[in-house]
Amino acid sequence: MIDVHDATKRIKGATVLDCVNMTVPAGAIVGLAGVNGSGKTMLLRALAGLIKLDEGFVEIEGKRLREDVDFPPSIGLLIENPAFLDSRTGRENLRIIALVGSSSQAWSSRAKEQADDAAVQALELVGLDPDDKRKFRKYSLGMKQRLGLAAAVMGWPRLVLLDEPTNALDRAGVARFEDIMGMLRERGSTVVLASHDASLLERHADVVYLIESGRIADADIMPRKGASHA
Amino acid sequence: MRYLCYLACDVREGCLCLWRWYVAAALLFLLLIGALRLMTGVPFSELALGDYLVSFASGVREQVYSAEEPFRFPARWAAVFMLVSCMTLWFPCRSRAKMGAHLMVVGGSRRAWWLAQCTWVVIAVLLFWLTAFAVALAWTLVSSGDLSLGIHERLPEVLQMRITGEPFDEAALSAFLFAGVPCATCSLCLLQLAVSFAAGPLAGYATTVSVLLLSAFCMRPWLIGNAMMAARCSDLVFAGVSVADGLVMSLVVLLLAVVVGGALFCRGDLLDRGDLHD
Repeated sequence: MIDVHDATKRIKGATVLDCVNMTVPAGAIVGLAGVNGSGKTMLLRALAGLIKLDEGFVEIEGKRLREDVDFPPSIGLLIENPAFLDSRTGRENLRIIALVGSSSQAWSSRAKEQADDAAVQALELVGLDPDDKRKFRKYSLGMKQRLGLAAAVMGWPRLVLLDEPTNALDRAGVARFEDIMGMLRERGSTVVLASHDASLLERHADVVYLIESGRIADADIMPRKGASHA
Repeated sequence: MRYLCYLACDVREGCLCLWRWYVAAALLFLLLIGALRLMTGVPFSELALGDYLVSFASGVREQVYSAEEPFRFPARWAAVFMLVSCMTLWFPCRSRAKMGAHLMVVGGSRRAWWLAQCTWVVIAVLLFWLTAFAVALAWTLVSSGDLSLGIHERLPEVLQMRITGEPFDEAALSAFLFAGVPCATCSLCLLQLAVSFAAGPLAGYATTVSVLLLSAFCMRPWLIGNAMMAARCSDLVFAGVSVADGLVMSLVVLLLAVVVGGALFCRGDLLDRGDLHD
């Protein structure tokens, strides 16, 4: 599913990813652990196709990012602070994302209905009210995080990238997140999860990679079932 | 298809985001109309639609450096073009850093997203000039002025236009107002978009201001600011850049901005400010 080969990225002279190699089979859940500035978010950005590597490549489902495709073909992502349209409700934001991500004719009323259904399901999944008329700008931090999570799992994409997904979530929100991780596993989505919370990673990930200074620190890898690193 | 999805979203959100700017633009045009009345001393009923439209994009005649003729910066002209540049600067930059990046990823195409941003800029510029036309038309009707593109005899002198002595060619004036100026404005704003995506919004705006300042000081056809000044349109006044040359130069800049800017954007990174820290 995911093949990261000698991924190296430098920004303004600093090496933020240093020769990272990683193979993730389809359906696996992989955890990324590491201190601030270690390169977890940058690795997620590389997997999402948001950055161009200076050396190496990322291949997803056999397609090389930035060469064969711009972005992974079926992806949901929550990277750092969730960013949505301030003047829209959560449901409207998700509907727009679903429409743009849909492979069908976005102008047809059927596509719009499908997008709305997907938005409602995703909102209910994370415990947000689909009929809430508040604009995104009025959301609390926790609600914004839930909406980001809803956007990432909406339509059950084949690849889900989550960066600190439990940030700002209350206990109920974390419980919902744990349920969602179970559903992602059942549906066979490949998940890459970056978190400071070691127990969260241990509960859900098949493999946890420890990232230090942009490298995978082999000694701290905690292998579980279903994934391996090269 | 992706392009249309991106564009539909940008047009809807961009218009929502920009309506206050269009109100500000309308107020600026009203202010310029008032200033024209004060400068010419001609009653509104004797001014025509063409007078107002030319005054929005009059600029300043080519500078001949001498002690007797100090350079006068065309502040009214610069205000109009700096406003439209500012209007089209922030929305694409914010979108790229926020929801736009998300849509780009789920939609799967950088190129389509870039082209949608370029199209949005063109639409925003055309709406700006439509606002100018609407304000001028409304004021002409309210003040019982002439709806023609005729130019009052006092106007060239007040707007520092070095005229040939012959009456203005209305066809040339129409070409300048309805093709030359909008096209040059689109080029400038697309150039700004390309620079702002490559080097940041401040660098983009600095580029715009530099082009406008250099154009005010130097009469060179490749400085597209010259194609936005009635006082330097050779089809209207003694010397300057013809509408045709201005259009060609604007299209060259526009194409370069879209192609080179697009290539840079497709090769570049989508990063947040904090990305070096995590």
